[in-house]
Order: sequence, then C-alpha cells, then structure tokens
Amino acid sequence: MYALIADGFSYLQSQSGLSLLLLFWYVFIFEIPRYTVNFAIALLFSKHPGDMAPDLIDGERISVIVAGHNEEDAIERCVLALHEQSRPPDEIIVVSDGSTDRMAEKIGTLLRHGLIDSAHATELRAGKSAAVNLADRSVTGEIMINIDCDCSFDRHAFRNIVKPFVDPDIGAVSGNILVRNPQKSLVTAFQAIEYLISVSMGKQAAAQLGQVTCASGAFSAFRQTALHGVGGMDAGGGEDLDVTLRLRQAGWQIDFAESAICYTDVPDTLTALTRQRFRWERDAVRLRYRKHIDLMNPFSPQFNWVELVHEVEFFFFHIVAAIALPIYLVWLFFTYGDLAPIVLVAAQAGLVVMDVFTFSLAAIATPKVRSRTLLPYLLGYSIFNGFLMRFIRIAAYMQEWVFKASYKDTYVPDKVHRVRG
Amino acid sequence: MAQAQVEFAGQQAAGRRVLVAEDSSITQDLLKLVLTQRGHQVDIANDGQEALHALRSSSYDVALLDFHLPKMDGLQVATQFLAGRQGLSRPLFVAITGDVEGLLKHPENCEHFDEVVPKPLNIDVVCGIVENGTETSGTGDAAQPNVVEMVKAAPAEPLPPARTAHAQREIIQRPATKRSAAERPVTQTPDTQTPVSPSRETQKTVSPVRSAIEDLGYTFLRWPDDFDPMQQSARSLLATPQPGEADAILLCEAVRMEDLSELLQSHDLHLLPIIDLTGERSAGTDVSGVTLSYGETGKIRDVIEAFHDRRACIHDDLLQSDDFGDKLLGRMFTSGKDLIARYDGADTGFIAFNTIVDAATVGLEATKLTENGLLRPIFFDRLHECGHCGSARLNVREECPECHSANLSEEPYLHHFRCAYQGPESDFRSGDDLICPKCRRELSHFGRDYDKPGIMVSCATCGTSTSEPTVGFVCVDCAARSDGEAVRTRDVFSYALTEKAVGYLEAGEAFLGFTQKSLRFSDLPFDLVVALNEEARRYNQDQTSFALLNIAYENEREIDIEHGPRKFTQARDLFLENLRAALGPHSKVFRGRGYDYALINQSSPDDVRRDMTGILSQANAHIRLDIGASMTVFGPKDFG
Repeated sequence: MYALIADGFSYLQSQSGLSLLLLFWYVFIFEIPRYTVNFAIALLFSKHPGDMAPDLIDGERISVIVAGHNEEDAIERCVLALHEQSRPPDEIIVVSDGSTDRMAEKIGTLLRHGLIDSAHATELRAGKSAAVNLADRSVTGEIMINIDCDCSFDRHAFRNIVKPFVDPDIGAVSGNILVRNPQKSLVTAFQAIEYLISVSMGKQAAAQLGQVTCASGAFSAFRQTALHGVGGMDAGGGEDLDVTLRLRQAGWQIDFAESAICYTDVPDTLTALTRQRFRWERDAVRLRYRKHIDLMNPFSPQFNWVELVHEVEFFFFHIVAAIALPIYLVWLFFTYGDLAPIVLVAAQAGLVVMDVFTFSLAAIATPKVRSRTLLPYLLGYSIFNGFLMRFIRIAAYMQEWVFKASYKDTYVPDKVHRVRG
Repeated sequence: MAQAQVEFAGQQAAGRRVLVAEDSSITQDLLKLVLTQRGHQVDIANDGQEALHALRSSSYDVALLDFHLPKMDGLQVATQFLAGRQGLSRPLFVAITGDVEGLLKHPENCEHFDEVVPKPLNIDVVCGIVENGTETSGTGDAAQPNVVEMVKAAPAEPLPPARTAHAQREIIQRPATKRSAAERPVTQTPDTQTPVSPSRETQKTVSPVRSAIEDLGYTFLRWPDDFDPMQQSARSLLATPQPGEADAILLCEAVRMEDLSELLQSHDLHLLPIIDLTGERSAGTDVSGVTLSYGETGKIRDVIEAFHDRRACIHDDLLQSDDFGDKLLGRMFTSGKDLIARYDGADTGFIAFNTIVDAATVGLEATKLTENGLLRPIFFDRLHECGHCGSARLNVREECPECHSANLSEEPYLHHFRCAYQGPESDFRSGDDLICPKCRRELSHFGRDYDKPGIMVSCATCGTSTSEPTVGFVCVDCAARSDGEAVRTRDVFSYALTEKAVGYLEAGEAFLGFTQKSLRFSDLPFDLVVALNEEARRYNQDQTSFALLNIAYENEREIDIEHGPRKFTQARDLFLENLRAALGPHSKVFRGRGYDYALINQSSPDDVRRDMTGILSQANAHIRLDIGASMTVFGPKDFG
C-alpha cells in the first residue's frame, strides 16, 4: 500500500507539465477555470458598488409578499422579524396557499393585530407562483420583496436589497442566502461552504458580469413595473429562475446584493439534500432547454449574445462537467489502473488548496459568516462538491430528459403539472 | 256650575237641533252628514262670532264648539252666551278639542262646558252625547266637565301623565282602603258618581283587577295620584298616606325610570312592593297586575305580606340608612329576590336589573357591596362596550381591514393552472366566458384549466380584497368605531345576598367587621367633622400631617348578647379613656354611634400605624371584656 503511494507520488513528480495536463484534464478543463474566474473577479471587484449607493429615495414604498403552505409555526416569527428591519417594509401581504394547518387562522390574527396589511387564504393549494401572483395584485409598493416563510433576515437586509434599484435598469435584485444550520450535520456544513462560495461569491462575480440568472425565491426584490411587464410568476417549479430569465429577456438587469443577507435552513440529510437538488436541477434543465430554448437558438428573435454567455456557462460547467466526470474516471482507471486513486487523491489535494483560497476570499467578502468553524470541512468539500453533487446532477438530468420527472414534483400541485408548459 | 237645565235632558233623543261651530270644513261636513242622517237638524258656524250669533238667534239643544275657533274661542262663545242667562234654557255645551289639558287649565272652563270630546272625534261618542245628552250636576260647585276619552284602535294609547292624570281622577272612583275617609288623599272623587262614557269600560281592561287589588284592604300609594301632579316626582309625595303607612306602591300609569328610581331612594319606599298595573315596568317591579286575572289578586296579598314579614326583620340601622348600598340590600332582602341581570335594549348599558333603578347605578353599588362581602356575584355575561361613550349597544360587523367599511362582498378566487394567474373571478369574466387576464387563454374546463381555491372578500368602498375581513364594532349611540380586538369588555353579574349581608340586615352595623366599612363623612360625629376641616386646612397651608383613627368593636354584638349592652358601653368608655391617655395631649377622641374616632395632630399616618400595637395594648389595659377593638388609620391623602 505504502509502496503504491510512494510509486504514485514519484510518478506524479516525474511528469512534465504537458503530461500533467493530460493526466488531470478534467480538473484543468472543468475546475480550474471556474475557480480562476470567480477568484479573479472577486479579487478585482471586492466591493460591490451597490453597497455605496444611497438608500432608496424616501417615499418609495416597499411591499413584502410572504406566500406559504402549512407554515403555521413559522409565519408569526417571520412577520415579527420583518418589523425588526432597519428599513421596515411599508406593506406586508401574506398568502396561505391552501394550508391545511392553522396558518389561515394565524394570518387572520396577524391582520387584526395590524402586523400585516393584507391576508389571503385559499382552501386549495395553487403552488407558490399562483400564491405570489395573488398577493401581487394587492401590492402598492414599487418594490416588491418576495421571501420564504422559513427564512430569517439580517437587520439591514431590506435596506440593502433595495439599494441597487437606484439604477433604473435594474429589474430585480437577488439577496444573499446563507446557511443557518451549518452545525447540524456534515451535509449542512458542506452546504454552508457551498452557499458561501458558489451562491455568495459566485453571484457576486456573476453580478459583475451582468450574469445573475436566478433571483433567489427565498429572498429577492422586484421592481413592480418589471415584474408586471413579464406577467408575474409563471406556473411550475423553479419559478425564480424562470422569472429571472424572462426579466433578462425583457431587457432588465438583475443584480445581487451580497450585504442583503438572509439565512435559511438547508436539508440536513443526504436524502433530503438529494431530493432538493434533483428538483433544482430538473427545473433548471426544463426551463433552460424546454421553456427558454430560444435563448440558445441564434435564429430566434429571443436570441441574445449576453444570454448565450450564461447558457454556455451552465451547459459547460454543469451539464458537460457532470457527464464528463464518469468518463474521466473510467478513462483514468482504464489507463492507469492502480495508480488512478493516487491521481484522484492528488487532484483532490490540489482542489483543497484552491478551495482554501476561494473560501478565504469568500469569507472576507462575507464577514457575517463564522467561516472559521467551517475550515476543517474544506478537506472534504471538493469530494462533496466535485463528486457527490455532480453525480446527483447527472441522475437528475437523466431523469428529467428521460422521464420528465419535473412534472411529477410534489412541490407543484398535480393540476398545474398537467397543463403548464 | 251655574244652575241650568238642559232642555232635552230626559227627552226623546230624536230630532235635536245641533249647532256645530268648527273651522275645519272636513269636520263640519262629517258632523253634518252623520247627525243629519240620524234625523237631527244641524247648523254650521265657521268661527266664534258666527256661533255666538247663531246661539242668540236660534234655540239649540246641543252646541258642539271647537275650543280653538277663529275670532272668538269656544269658551268665549259659551261664556258670552251664558252671561245673564241664569235660569234660562241653554243648550248642552260640548267642547271639541285636541288639547284637553289646555282646556282644563283654563280658569273658566269648568263653568260652562258640559262635556269635553277630545280630537280626533269618535263619531259614536258625539252621537251619544247629542242624542242622550248629559244631565249636568246641579250640586257640585267644583264640578268639571266629563272628559270623554276616545276609543282608539287597540291598544289604547295612554295619554301622557300630565294630561290624563287630572281628568282620570274624576272618572275612576277610588275604592275605600283601610284608612278612614278623612285620611284619604285630597284627590278623592266626589261622592256623586260621575258618569262614565260607555266606551270607557271597554278601554280600561285592567280596571276590574285594579278594583280587586284595591279591595284587598291595604293602603296603597298610587302613582301618579298620590304624587303632586304638577311635579310628579317622588320628592313631591303628597301628605297622605305617609310612606310609613303604605303597604305597597301601585303604578297606575306609565312612569319614567328616573321618577321610579327617585321614588325608591326617597323615604323608605324601597322596602315596599311595587305593583305594576301598566304592563310597562313589569320586569322591574314585584307583581305585574296586567298578567293577573281577576281571581288571582290573592297573589298580591301574599307578596305584600311577605314584604311585611321580611321588613320586620330588618335592623333599624338599615331602615334609617340613607346609604344607597344599604337600601339596595334592604330591597333585595324584603323582596326576597336576588338582583338578576337581564338584557335591556332600551338602556345604553344593555342591561337592566329586576329593580327600578338604572343598571349603571345598581352595578356600581353592587360591585362595592361585593367587595365588602355582602353580595355574591353570579356571572351573567360579558358585554362589549364603546370606548368612547360606554354604550353597550354596538353593531358587530365584518369590515374591510383597510377602510373599515362594511360594504363587503364575497367573490371566489380563481386559479388558472397554466400561467399561475390567481385572482377574483371578475378578473376573468368576459361576458359568458372566462378569459385569463394574463395569458388571454380561455378557461373552459373547471378542474382542468382552473379551479376556485377559496373565497375572496372585496370592499366596494376602497377596492381592497382579502380573505380575512376584520371584525369591528360600531356604537349605535355615538357612532364611534372600535377594532374587534381592542373593544373594551365589561362583565355583568347578577347578585345574591351573602350570609354576611343577611346578618348585617338583621343585626345592623354592629354585625360588620368595621374596617370593611369605608370612612364616610356622613357617619362622623359633627365635632369631628369640624376638627377634621381644621386639620385639612392646616395640611393644605403648611403640610402639617394628621392621622385619624377609626375604631371599630368587633365583639359588640357578642357582648351585648352575653353581658348586656351596659357592660359593653362601660368597656367602650374605659377603652376610650385609656386611648386618650395613650395618645397624649396632641389628640382628641370622639365618640360616634357605631364607631369611635381619634384625631392625632402633627403625626403622620405611617408613624401611627407603626405604633398601633402599642396604642391598642395601652387602650385595652384593665378591660376585662374583649371588645375586639381594631383601628384603621387614615391620613390627609385619604380625604383628597
């Protein structure tokens, strides 16, 4: 065993640059560029200009929509927390989307106590999109913030998420979602790192390039004229990605406010995580390659070079990278036999080093997160992110392509699955 | 009345000559038509002068004179016609008026009119008078005209008290009570029986019952007869019978709650049973004469006797007390009934008790009595009341959370599955079709294209829609609005006498733990009040404090029973003597009726409280009987 490791090490040492490139082609093609781009952009624009922007002009009304299903336990705390904001919303609209618990009763009480401004309760579940659309009818503010019931917010989150709207071209701003329960399990710790690197820093980088493609459903703000211009939310899962893509097509810019921090509980078991990611990936594939396929078609009037950038990025770094991984592994074991694990360990070691760099940068950019406690988990993060997540993605993509599984998500009522596009 | 003979009296009724003096052509025509048809000869006069002229130029059997005639009123016509005609024949003068009271007030009215017929006219009555006439009394020198009340469509509307009271005395004969004739009220009817209009008998359905009640042989105070008719309040109770002699109060006519309340609170009338003959106050009185049948008047006897018996048990302290709380306890005790709350829409507090005092006053007093352990509250209901005016008459309604309008209408939500548009059905409605306002697709299949996940409430006033209308209260008295959550509530109780209260009622103030009685200026000896005023003045001038000790003797009753009152008085005297010595020169001790007092100058109440044990032990020295003395200390602030 030791002899094998020693052999492997001496083999790697003996390689020239070109042969190393050939050996680690997967890493060089799919991993290095992703890290480099993020790293470079984060380094170049460590401070987002939006943070310096003045607050919205006084009198600009901010409305909040909270749409939930069976959120009896969370809704009250959520609403009370909204009143704790340094820039409290001018209007809170809550929808109980066909809740079968006592959520409807709870929001009635909140309304009577003057804690919310409008309450709607339906008896049949219509899905998040329809619930948001229902609430949207009552919105009187020019800025609408859409939040999930189970999220909690930094005191200045609202003040910060509306700042970018001083730019009249901004149609929506995504909030910065961080993990509230990193200590819960190994899975949540890895997700905390993932959110910090790919969501927080990844979106910061994307924002610099004008490539934010998803105003997160858990916390984002919309300019009402923009949202109404595209007809509000559409049916089906992944409505946040969908509406963002449609806003982009309509010419609106999407920004990311990294200082508008929102915490959410992430799945704490691998099963739950897998189920969640299956849903996300399936929705992404369905939306990008079914509903919005025109974005990839140079002959379509919808075609736009700017949109092509993120489409290609997604295609290459998500889909191709996921599919290439098993190919690379097979090739590696086929070609190098016993040495293959050593090569993989070496690749992982290299990735850990890059992870530490990127993570440090992300931690500096988002000082709110207690990043030090996450440091030990960096050793395993590349396995989680580089292997596990990619295999989940492959499975999800296959399932969607072959079985159109996104049409069976329980996240969306069946009646909607049957008819939506 | 002037001696006069009505010519046709006792004659055959047919073919009378009638003068109708009336300025209303409709009344003229009506009377002329009816009377002519019945074979009478009718002349019409349009004003007073014409009437006088007609009377002088022709001979009439009956003159129907409108009291208010142009040029000369009916009374003047009669007066001038009769002037210098003593002994000569004259027609029967009948006054027609809508203002019986005004006519009766007139100094000369009784002299000349034989009948008064109120408007609107009952033609049968008029015909009866014309045809039968009325033999005017030749003896009564203070006789008044007969007032013929109209039989109106049932139920007969009682005339206001001021109007009918006077007249009714003349019509309804008062049966004898157990008092002698000399003691009877001055409103006693003349001995001659005044004829009663035939219609009268049918109208006064309670009369037989009233007669039967009055025949029971008790002394009744009658409302309003035994009260000054000009003021009609309990304060103006007429001289006879004295309240102490009466056995019950008989409400013969409608009476205002305020008057009744005053009635209860003055004298000792609160301990008398109240018998309602009007049917309007039955809930607050002890017996309703209206619901009694003729043979059931024995029940009244039972009630009166029960009151008698229980009243006899009440201690003099309570009988003589002016305190409203004491009166209330006394009333509950004698009536043998708890204080029962009930709903009463006529009252702004929405509550009435089974007594004749307004609920607010009763409720306030009952709360105090409850605190003192004299009443036991029994929960009745929780009322919401207006934060602005306190009224409990509130309209509860669902209202718009935005503008508080109640102009709400319900509409189903409609969810279009395909594009996720969700809104009220009206958004989709396009003629007979449902068209999605977002994607313009037609919704043709319920359950496949769309469904209706709930009901939305829309406000027609401000356009807001919600599924959660709020509940609001609007005061029907002052129109103030309150949120459902914020509206004030008030608990209402019925009350029952506690054993302690019964002990207090039977044994007087001595029964109570004295400290529970709050300090009342009215109870203080006069010289103490003077001294207290002096101390208060000094306190206001230079903040010189003082302390007042209220001394109660818990064991008075026991010592009275066991050793006799003299022993207690001796012990009490000795106690006060010791107390004087203990308190020193800066104090004065006052002897009261139930309590004694000590006023200590230049001492703060707190200092005195601290020394209380010492003071009490010194004052109790050498007293063999335990008089159970206890002291409550009051300071200047207690007299604020």
